[in-house]
Amino acid sequence: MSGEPKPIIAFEDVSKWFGTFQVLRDVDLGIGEGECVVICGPSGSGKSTLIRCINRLETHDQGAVRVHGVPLGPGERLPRELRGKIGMVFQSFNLFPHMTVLRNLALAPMRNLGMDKDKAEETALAYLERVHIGDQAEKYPDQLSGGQQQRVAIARALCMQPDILLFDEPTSSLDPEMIREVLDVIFELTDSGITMVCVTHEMGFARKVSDRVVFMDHGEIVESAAPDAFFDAPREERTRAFLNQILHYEASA
Amino acid sequence: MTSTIGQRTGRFRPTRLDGILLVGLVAAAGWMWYRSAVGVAYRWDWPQALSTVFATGDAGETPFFLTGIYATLRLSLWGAVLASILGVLIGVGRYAGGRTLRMFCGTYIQILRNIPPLVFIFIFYFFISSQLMPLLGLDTLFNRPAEEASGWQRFLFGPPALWENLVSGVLCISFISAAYIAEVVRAGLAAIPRGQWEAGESLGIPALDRYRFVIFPQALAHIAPPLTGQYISLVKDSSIVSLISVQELTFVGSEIANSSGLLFEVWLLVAFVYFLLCLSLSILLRQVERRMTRHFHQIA
Ligand SMILES: Nc1ncnc2c1ncn2[C@@H]1O[C@H](COP(=O)(O)OP(=O)(O)OP(=O)(O)O)[C@@H](O)[C@H]1O
Ligand SMILES: [Mg+2]
Repeated sequence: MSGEPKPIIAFEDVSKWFGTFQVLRDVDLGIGEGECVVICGPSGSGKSTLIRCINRLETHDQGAVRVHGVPLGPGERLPRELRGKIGMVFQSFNLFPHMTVLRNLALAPMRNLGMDKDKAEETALAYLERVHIGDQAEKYPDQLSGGQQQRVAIARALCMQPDILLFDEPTSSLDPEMIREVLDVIFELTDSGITMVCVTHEMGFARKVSDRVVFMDHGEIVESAAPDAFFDAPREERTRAFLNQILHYEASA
Repeated sequence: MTSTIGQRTGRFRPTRLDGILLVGLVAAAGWMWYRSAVGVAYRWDWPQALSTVFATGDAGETPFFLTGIYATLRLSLWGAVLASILGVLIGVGRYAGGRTLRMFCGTYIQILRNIPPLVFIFIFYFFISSQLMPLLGLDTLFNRPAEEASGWQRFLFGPPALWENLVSGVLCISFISAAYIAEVVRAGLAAIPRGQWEAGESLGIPALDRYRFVIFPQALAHIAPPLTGQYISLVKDSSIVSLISVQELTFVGSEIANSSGLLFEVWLLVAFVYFLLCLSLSILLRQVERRMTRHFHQIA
C-alpha cells in the first residue's frame, strides 16, 4: 500500500517474534513524508511493537525497516544520525519526575544538540506555549493533571525538532475530560510537516486527523485505507467486526 | 516521588506484650546481677583500665588506643570511598553491561557474598597481598623514608610506617563491601521504570547523560537507605582485618586487653567506641539522606 512518492518510513516484509510467539507477520507498510497515519486494532495485535520498531525501542527479526532511507537490519539499533529525530509520546507520559517541566524539555536539546541552557529554555518555553501550558514551566510533573502532563510530553518531543512523531495510545490513560485537550494539540500539529504515526482507539479523531488508517490484527496489516473509505466502506470482514465493536462501544459509552 | 525513610506513624502505645517483655528483662537483669555478685570473681578496675588505655608513650606518643581509633576511622573512610566506586561500577556493569561484563560482575558478587569475609581476608592477604604487592613493586612505594610524608598525608593516611598495613586493610574491606553495594546499586537501577529509559532514549539523550541526569538521581532515592546500612556494616566489619594485623581498634584493643589483663574493661571500651562511631555515622547519614530526598526534585 505504499503509493506515496517518498516514503520516510518503510517496512519491507518485517517479522518479529517474542520467543515462539509471532508479533509481526510480514508487515509491508510505507509512510510518506508529512503523512499522518493512525494505527488501530485489537489489544495484543502488535501495534505498539510495530511503531517501536521505527525508533528501535524494539528490533525486528526478519525483513527490513527503512527510516529516512537508512536501512535498519534485524537487531539493529538506531544509528547516531537518527537519534532524537524520531520523537515518541507514550501512553504513560514518562516525564522525568525529578525535574521541572522546563528542565524536562531543555535536557535533550542541551545534551543531544549541544544547545546552551538559555537557548534550550527559550525553545522549551516556546513549545510549552504551543501546547498551551506556558505558565506551568516551573512545576514538577506530579503537580500537573494527566492532560497537562501528556501535553508536556508532546512539547518535550517537539523540542528536538523531530521529523517523525510516534504516539502510542497517547490518551488511553487519561480521564475522559482531558482526552480532548491532548487530541486538539495533536491535531494542531498536522500542518507542521512532521510525519505522524499514532496508535489510538479514538475513531472520531482518526477520521478527522489522519490521512490514512491502518488496521492490524494478529501481527498483520489487514487493511490500510483513507479514513473515509476505511470507516464507510471497510473491505475486510475483520475490519468490519472490529469497527462494529469499537463504534458500538463508543455509542454506548 | 515520596520517601518513607524513618517515618513512624502514631505515638508509642504500650501493649500487653511490651509489659511482659519489660518484666522479663528486669527479671533477667536482676538474676544476672545476683549471680555475678555471689558467683563471679572478677574485680573491676575502671581507673586502672582508663589510665592504661589513655597512657601516652614514653616519648609522649599518641596513646596506642587512640591510634587504633584513628586507624579504624581511616580504614572506614577509605574503605567506604573505594567500596562505593567499585560497587557502583560493578552494579552498573551487572545491570547494563554486555553478556560478558554482566557475567563477570555477577560472579564477583556471588563469590564475595558466598564465602565468609574472614576466609576471604586470609586468602586475599596471604596469597595476593603478600605475593602481588612485592611483584608490582608496591611495597617499595610504601617503604619510603618517613620524613617524606607531608602533614596532610599523615593526617589522611596515618603514620607512613603503617601505610602498607592500611592499604591491605582498605583493599580487603572494600572488596567485600563492594559486592554488597553493587547489589544495592543494581536493585536501585532496576527499580526505575522502563519508560524512563525509553523516554531518554527516544529523545536521543546520549547514554552517559541518560544515567547522569535521568536514571541516577532517581535511583539514588532507592539506593540511599540500604547504602546507609552498608556503610555502618563496613565500619563494624572493619574489625575483622585485625586478624591480618592491621592495627585498628580491635587489634589495639586485644593487645591492650591481653597485656593488661583488664579484659572486660578494655573490651567494653572498644565496644563503646564502635557503638559511638556507628551511631553518629547513622545519625549523620540519616540527615544527609533526609536532605537529599527533601530536595530530591532539585538534584538533577
Ligand atoms: N517484551 C515482550 N515479551 C514477550 N511478549 C511481548 C512483549 N511485548 C509484547 N509482547 C506480546 O506481543 C503482543 C503484541 O504486543 P503489543 O504491545 O505490540 O500489542 P498492542 O497492539 O500494542 O496491544 P495493546 O493495545 O494492548 O497496547 C502481545 O500479545 C504482547 O503480550
Ligand atoms: Mg500497545
